[in-house]
Amino acid sequence: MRSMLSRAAAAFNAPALATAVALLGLWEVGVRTATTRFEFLPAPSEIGEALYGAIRSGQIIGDSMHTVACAVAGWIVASALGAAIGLALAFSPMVRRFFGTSLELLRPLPAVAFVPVAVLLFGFTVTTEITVIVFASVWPVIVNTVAGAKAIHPRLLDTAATLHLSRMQRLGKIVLPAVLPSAMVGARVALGLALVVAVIAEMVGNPAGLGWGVVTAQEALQPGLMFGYLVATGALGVLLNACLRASFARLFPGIRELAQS
Amino acid sequence: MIATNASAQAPIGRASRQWALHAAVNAASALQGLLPLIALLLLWQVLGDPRSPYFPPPSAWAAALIERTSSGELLPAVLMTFQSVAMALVVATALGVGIGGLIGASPRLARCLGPTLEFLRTLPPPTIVPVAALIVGVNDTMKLFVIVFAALWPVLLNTTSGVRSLHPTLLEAARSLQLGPLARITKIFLPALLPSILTGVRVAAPLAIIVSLLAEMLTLMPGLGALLLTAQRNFNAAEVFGLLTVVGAFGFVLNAALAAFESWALKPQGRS
Amino acid sequence: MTTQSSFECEQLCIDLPGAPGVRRIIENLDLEVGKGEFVSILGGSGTGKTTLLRALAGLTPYSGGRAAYEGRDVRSPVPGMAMVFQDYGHALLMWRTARRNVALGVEGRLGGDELDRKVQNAIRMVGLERFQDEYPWRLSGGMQQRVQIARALAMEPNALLMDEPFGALDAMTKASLQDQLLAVQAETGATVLFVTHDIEEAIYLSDTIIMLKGSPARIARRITVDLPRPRDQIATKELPEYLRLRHQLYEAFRHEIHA
Repeated sequence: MRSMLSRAAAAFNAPALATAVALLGLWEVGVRTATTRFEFLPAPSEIGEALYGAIRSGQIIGDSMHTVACAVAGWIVASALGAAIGLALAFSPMVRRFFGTSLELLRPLPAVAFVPVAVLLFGFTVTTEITVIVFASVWPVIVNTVAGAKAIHPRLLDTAATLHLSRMQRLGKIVLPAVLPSAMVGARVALGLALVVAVIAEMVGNPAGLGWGVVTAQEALQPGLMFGYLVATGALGVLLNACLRASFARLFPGIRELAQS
Repeated sequence: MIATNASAQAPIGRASRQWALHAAVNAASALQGLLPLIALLLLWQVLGDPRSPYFPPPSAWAAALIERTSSGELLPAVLMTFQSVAMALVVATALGVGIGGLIGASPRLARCLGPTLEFLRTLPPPTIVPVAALIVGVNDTMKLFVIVFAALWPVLLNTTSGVRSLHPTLLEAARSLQLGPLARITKIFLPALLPSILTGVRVAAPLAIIVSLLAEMLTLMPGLGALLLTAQRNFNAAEVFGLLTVVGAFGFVLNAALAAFESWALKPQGRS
Repeated sequence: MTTQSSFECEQLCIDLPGAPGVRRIIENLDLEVGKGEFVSILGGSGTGKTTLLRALAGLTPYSGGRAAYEGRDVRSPVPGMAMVFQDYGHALLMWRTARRNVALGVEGRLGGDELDRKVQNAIRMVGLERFQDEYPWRLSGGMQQRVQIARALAMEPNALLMDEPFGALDAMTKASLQDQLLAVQAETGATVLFVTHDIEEAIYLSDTIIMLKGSPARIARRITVDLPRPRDQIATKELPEYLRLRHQLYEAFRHEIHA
């Protein structure tokens, strides 16, 4: 605890705070004196007010809950699916030979373009949203799992052989623990992606949550509220990542890759 | 001189033959990898009902695409999206290399600007689209702005870490050879950073495509995204699937082009 | 008086920032190196040999006293001086051919035939003619170091500063590059400051050996090498004077190790 405090003290960065405050001040003054040519640009104080109001009324909280719930649900499915596909690709030559290229072809499909298809199939529903999230966030897990499996040092497998481990023992004791770190790094990337894609899906697919909130605020010409949603979405991303990092570090204290980045 | 040229060409000829063989083997194995996808599409074609409102077979997709092409909508839309993405990538690369280079080179600047940039980076680019549409208005400037905002970060971060990982000996060699600031930038920094910059651009390209499509969907500005959304609103499933393949091909081609450029540009560095 | 000396240090002090704070590396060091002289700076690892060389090259600022080259204080890299680094892998531009690496320092000032002539001359001196159109990453370590030396020679320096240039090479390559360096020095008449931790290399190459010792370092000994030139890997190393110096220096370092 004390080390965390002292680290926070060391990380306190006065010039950065001054820069940020100066930029915000410039923005505020620019809007108040109407020197900017954008009529809908709100001043930082208006954004703060709108955000505070939306939090008080519970509107933004409810929207956040919806978005986070969808993102996390999609992320869990994507992580499990991605790890399974990744392991199959890495350890079965058959799977790799027959499915590798097909997956490579699907991977660059932009998630946004997938939304209209999902809407046609599932309507403007939560299913649409989660399907799109899964489709988008499964890739980093697959890629990182495969990379982790490929990076297993041959010496480690030699060790398994000299210790006369069975196939299952080798998988459980050597392969999975060796793949886990990079699979989890992939899962962390996937969570950030899941949140962003949830917002995208809400904008054009499922009218709910933060993404829909931004669009309705735009259409209702409420720039302050719109920026409030923007800030809330950003903050939520940071918060989610911090939670994930903390729980990963608690669950798997031995993984260096997660402790560092 | 002639003799050295001839001897230099011999291995190149051999290498190109080897390369052709390699490519043929690769193509064969790639085809094998495509089999499940081809089988799925064939099955879909054979079993699918052409009048199905949800799962029209691939031939219906093609028909829908041909119709859009002959009505003169598809090609301009593809070009429009490509133009936005390409221009935004150029602007984002220039900005990212400039800002990233300065931040990487100056710890003081990094300390002042770092947290502000870090905050801006947390804002999901798609959320910026409606915001920019309201404030800047629905026009090309706004589209360029939102795509650049999405594509900037990978280039910037890669450039910054590239500058920081430059080996001190390289910079000292430049100093001890008394190269001026301009020569140092053009002869040392940019070539040495090229791999990092190109990696950043390749990460940025799919983001640029996503945000460009989203901007077109939300504002119905001309482009592939608008076409897709219109097709969905008209419940034209065949066209939606057809356009999805076009978008996929678009991303695939752009990525392949960038990868080819990267390996060409990095060849002399032995890093491709 | 300055016409005769190439490098001069008076009461030179160098401090470098370290983990616990500023650490004094070199203290009150006096040194004079004559023009055309081959001087080796010898010392165990961590004694500040490289720091001293870098200060004379204008790459590391010094905190006290004076370091001068041809009578003028050195504060930044000075024309007429060229540096060769130990880690050639990082000092060369991997995206340029050997020839264009050699041209790097002179291409800004010269052009056309003049540039070509200088670059070709430098390449000839280190025997790189056959490999000049190769990229450095395709060359062996010895060849890469030759490229770096040629790059320094293309500047036609009056003084060559070399920081353990052969430290990372195998014994055979090292011997061949040593002989080439001696030939180059005989041809150009340049002053050479040569940092090494290899006692035999220092004796074989130098006119004078400066031995650094202690922390902060000072000059423990200054040894004049009175061996005939041109030198020869076999004959020179069998001369009684060579063996005597070798014995003396190993003895000196043994005391340091046991101290």
